[in-house]
Amino acid sequence: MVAFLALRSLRRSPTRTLLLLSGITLSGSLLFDMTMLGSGLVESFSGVLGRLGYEIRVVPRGTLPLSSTLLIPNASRITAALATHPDVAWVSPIIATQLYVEAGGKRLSAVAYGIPSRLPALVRTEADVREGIVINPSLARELRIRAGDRVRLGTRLSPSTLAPQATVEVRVAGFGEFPFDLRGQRTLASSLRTLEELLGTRDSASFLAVKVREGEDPEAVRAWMNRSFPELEALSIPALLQAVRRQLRYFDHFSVILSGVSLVVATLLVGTVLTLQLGERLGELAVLRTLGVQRTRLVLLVLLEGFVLAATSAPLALGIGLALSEPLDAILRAMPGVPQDVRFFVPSSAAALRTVLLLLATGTLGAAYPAWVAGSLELATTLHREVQG
Amino acid sequence: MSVVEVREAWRIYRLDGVEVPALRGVSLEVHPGEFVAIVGPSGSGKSTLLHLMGGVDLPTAGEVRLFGRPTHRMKEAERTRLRLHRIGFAFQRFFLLPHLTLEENVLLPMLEARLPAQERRRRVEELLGYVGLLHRRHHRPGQLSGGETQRGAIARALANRPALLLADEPTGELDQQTGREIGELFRRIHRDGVAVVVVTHNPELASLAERVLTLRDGRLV
Repeated sequence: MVAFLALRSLRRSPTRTLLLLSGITLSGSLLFDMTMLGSGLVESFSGVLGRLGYEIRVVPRGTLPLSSTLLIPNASRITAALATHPDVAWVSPIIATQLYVEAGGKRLSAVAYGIPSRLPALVRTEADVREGIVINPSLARELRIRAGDRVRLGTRLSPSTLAPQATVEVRVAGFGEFPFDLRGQRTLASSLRTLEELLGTRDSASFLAVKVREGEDPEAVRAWMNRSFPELEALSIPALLQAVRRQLRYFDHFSVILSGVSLVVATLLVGTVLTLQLGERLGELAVLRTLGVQRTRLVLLVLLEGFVLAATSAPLALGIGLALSEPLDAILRAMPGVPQDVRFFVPSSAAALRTVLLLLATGTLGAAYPAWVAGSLELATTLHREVQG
Repeated sequence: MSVVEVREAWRIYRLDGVEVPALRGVSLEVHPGEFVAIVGPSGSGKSTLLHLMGGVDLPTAGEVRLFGRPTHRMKEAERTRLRLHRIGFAFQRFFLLPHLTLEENVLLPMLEARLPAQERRRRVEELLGYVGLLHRRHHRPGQLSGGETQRGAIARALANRPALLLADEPTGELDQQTGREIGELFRRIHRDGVAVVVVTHNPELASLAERVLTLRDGRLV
């Protein structure tokens, strides 16, 4: 009877119910967006980092985990030493730096990676860096270069001549996608040897990528590395994620605050409308009690009304939230310094489930006060006042 | 055993610290199948007495026994259960739920009593036929006349085959002719074996009862 009455009660005033549903739906869609934002950015980063193809990144101690200009000296010795650990599959030194690229009388800066050979995690390409450099579409487009062309790579500019202090001519072996590229970033990958020659360094690396054998624990290997090489810092993907999470904490705060606001708005909406509605039907509730409906059943009835309102809004809230997340994501991804594969709003069943559960709890919580009023109805007094008039 | 037994019942309300007695030592007994009318001026305590007789309220002093059981010894949930299964109520303002059809309104107490679906269907038809509203079963209260609405409310009161029907000013909002029809309906219900207690200002309705009790200033006179 309670479910039957709860459903019918919501139909007694269709316009009011529709307006209420719209309000809850909008609050719910914002909640869904904020839930996606709260977990999505970290999930997205973990997705990107998960595709790296290695589990541990070794950097000079005290530098930023993802960007540093400091180099690790004696890279080959350390690489060989790290590779002695039985759980390590391979170790690869990588140089990351900024270079100038000249072609057709035009000179542009670009991010350059020096890698020993193929490293699909860093650059997705069919070409081989041992046969020349691999460039991304932005660089190719802006310098109008094609595979097989020859270009000149240069280091930092001399303040007196405004020419690069060292240059080397290389062939473009092919094109590639760099998953960590920022929007519009120009990027190339070359062999480690080419970059070392150009930078005038020998046997150095910006960081070392370490692949752990299948089934082994990266955290154990990381701990061993940190103990064995105190001048270096080994960061596992979870540790990197932790660092990312710390750097992106303000997004969490932002999402928690806005989620909280949307929950409070939805709770107040449900509470206010149901309380008003209850005031109009105290007589009916008193009559139901007189006819033999238990007090607890009336409480359940009002709680169920709040629950049904939230449940009806939930699918719409998810749909609208999903539709809104696209333009919101585009706005945030247009910010400078955002890797192109990173998404701010990542739809997931966990985010949807969390939103639905929060919304249902909100609807029920919003109905708590009117439910309490219904439950504490003084029967004889209400009958005197409402029924006999 | 009597259906309702009221012994020296007092009901005192406390309003702004002042004690206001609505009933002053009322005693009466209603037997199975009896038709009793309670008359009296406004404020004489008629509705309060009806509430005590239905287990809606408890006496401040004295005792009310419903089907042999003292109401003050029963938990609220027990009294509610008793009303659901053995007592029917009809009100002056009918109070059918406006968003439900007539049929659904009559169905409500049966749903609450968890009657099997087949029996509910059969009983709804039987009751709406009994009060002459079968053809109006899918109409909402707003689409019914005053008399039809009151007949619908009486059908709802009879949903779970009560032994006692309590009606508070059932003709108060009806014209004379319609009031007469409702009175006839009560007489028929009484003839069918249900004890009927009607609180009324309407002398014509009161005249249909086997016994008329007059309340004045909270006392039976």
